[in-house]
Order: sequence, then structure tokens, then C-alpha cells
Amino acid sequence: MNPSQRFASFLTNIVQSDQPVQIQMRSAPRQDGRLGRGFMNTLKVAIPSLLLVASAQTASAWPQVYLSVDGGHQKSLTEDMGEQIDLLANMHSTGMATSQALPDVRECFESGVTDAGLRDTNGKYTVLMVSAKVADVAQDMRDWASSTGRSMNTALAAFCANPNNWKSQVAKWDQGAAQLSPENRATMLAFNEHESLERYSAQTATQVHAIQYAQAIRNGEKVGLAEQLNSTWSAIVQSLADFHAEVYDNLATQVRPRNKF
Amino acid sequence: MKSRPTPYAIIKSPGGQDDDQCVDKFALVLPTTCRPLNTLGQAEQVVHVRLNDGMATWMGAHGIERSIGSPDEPIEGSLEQAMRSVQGLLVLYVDEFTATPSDSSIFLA
Repeated sequence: MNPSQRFASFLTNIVQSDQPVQIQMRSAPRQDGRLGRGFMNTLKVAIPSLLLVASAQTASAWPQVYLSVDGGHQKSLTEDMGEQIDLLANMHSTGMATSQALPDVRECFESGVTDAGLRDTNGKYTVLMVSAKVADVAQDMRDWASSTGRSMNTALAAFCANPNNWKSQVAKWDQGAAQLSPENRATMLAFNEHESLERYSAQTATQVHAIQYAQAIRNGEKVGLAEQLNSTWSAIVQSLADFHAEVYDNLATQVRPRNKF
Repeated sequence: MKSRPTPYAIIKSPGGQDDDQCVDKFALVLPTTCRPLNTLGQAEQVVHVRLNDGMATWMGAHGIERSIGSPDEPIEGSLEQAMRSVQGLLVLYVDEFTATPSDSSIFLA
């Protein structure tokens, strides 16, 4: 078997075992002793999305997925993504439009995300999702921006990088930029914000595509897992990306972990 | 050229339909930037890995040496065992920006 076929078999075994999946991450040591969040944030989206599609392909339940970093506490990733799914389904069923998003979130992503594909195809889901997530802390962000003279966009970008502690993320960016000349410092901070917003948008698009793709398979519109994985991974990614918004209508059935999916 | 150790993850399969036939009990997950590429820009199917001092090291794209683990934080014994086996260790590369799978390989020590 080639690697793709082996991975198809591996995924099939996982989703058909009907048991929780464990992901153990080892962070690379950093000079400043802090945890690099990029790869962890990637895993949080990539693995549940992959398993969501695989479970649909094999007509199996979406397994619970737990992530442990450096031997620490296990965190449920399916709960996180389940919340995303609920948010998406709610947006669909209530017909929420981008105009209903928090104005500062909408403005932030409109100015901060320059990739046309991310803005046009899935931008509204990102904006609505972030609006829902920051609803409780938005005023704190506005107060912080007002008292520090910083931009609300900075707070939102930091939230996208580290939803659990956005102020710590701002401090981390500031610390990194402090070693640079003033003009390079501003450039670096702007880059960090832009990169965070675009990455968050791209990863939201991945989740949306996975949900749509899985829903389409459930509806009998896609071929089996092994057949898909015999092609290259890039073809799978492309097929996810090519999946159109009309299938999103099917989300009205409310996709959830276990039992319903 | 050497880079600093790479973050990595292990996905553990809880079992399988038929344990005797199930070669891959777990898979290694790495950032896409770590994959060695062939002339078509795809990941090498089989990657030769050097095991030493708790580290697994291989040659990534552009001649940059990649590694996981360190003498202080050695890689798990199960990974070493899989890399030394005939079948090798299953590896999935994930694009860190989009969080989508990009390629897969087999690591062989």
C-alpha cells in the first residue's frame, strides 16, 4: 500500500472503532520557553475536520477527539468544532447576514483580510463566527483599545491567535517586535495582525468545507473514502475547496457530534 | 542547514476492525514545511530517517535538515519502533495556514 492508501485504512479504523481518538502533541522547545500556538491551532481544526469527512465517507459516527499538549490536560476538540457547527447551522436556519455581525468585527476582517477568495467565499461565516465568539469580550476589547490607544483590530487579531488569552497574545507580539527598529516594529505588528486574521479565515473555510463536504456525502453525493484517498491529498483539498455553498442549505438538519452524525 | 526541532503530534487509533491486519496503530502529524519533496513537488513516499540521541532527523526540502525530539525530550519509543519496522511509520503533513492535509509519507529508520 502507498502512504495515501495506508492513511485511508488508518482513518477507516479510527472512525469505525467507535472509541475516542487521542492526539498527543509535542511542542518544539522555544528559546523564550513559551508554547508556539500555530501548530496547535492547526491541529484543532485539521484533525476533527478530517475525521468528520472520514466518518461521513464510512457512514460512521464522528468520533470524540482529545488533544493533549506535552502530556498536559486532555481537551475535547469535537466540542470546539461542535460549537462551530452549531453556530453555522444557527446562522443558516436564522438566515443571518453579514450585516448582523458586530460592526467592528466586520470592519476588521474587511480591512485585514486581503485574500479575495477568503473574503468572498467564506468571509461571512468567519465574520459571523467571530462575532458570536467575541460577543462577551467585545466591550473589554473596545475599552482596552480606548485606554491603550491601540486598534480594535489588534485585539481581534490576537483573539483569533489565542482565544483564551488575547491580551497575552498582544504582549507576545509586542515583545517580539520590541527588538526591532520603530519602523520595522510597526511593520512586524501589522504583519502579525494580518497573518492571524487570514489564517483564522482560512481555517474557518476548512471547517466550513469539511462540514459541507460531509453533509454532501451523507446525502449520497460523493464517492467512498478509499477511492478519494487513492488520489493525491491535494486533490482532496481541492475537492473540499470546490464544494459550493448551495450544499450549505443541507445544514439545516443540524450536524452534531455522535448520534446525529 | 539545520532548523530547530519541529512540533509534532501523534494520532492514536483506538483499535481497528481486525487487529492482526492493522499495521498502523498511530500516525505522526507534521507541518507541511517539513516534507521532503520529489521533482514534481510532491512528498517523497518513503523518507529515510536517522535516529540518534532521542531525535529523528531527516532531510527536508531545500536541503534543510528537519528533526523531532531532543536529548532532553526524546521521541516516544513507539515512534522509534515503528520507524525501525519493515512497514515504517505513517506520516501526515498538514498545512499550518489552512489546516488541511497536504501529503503523506512513510518514515523508515
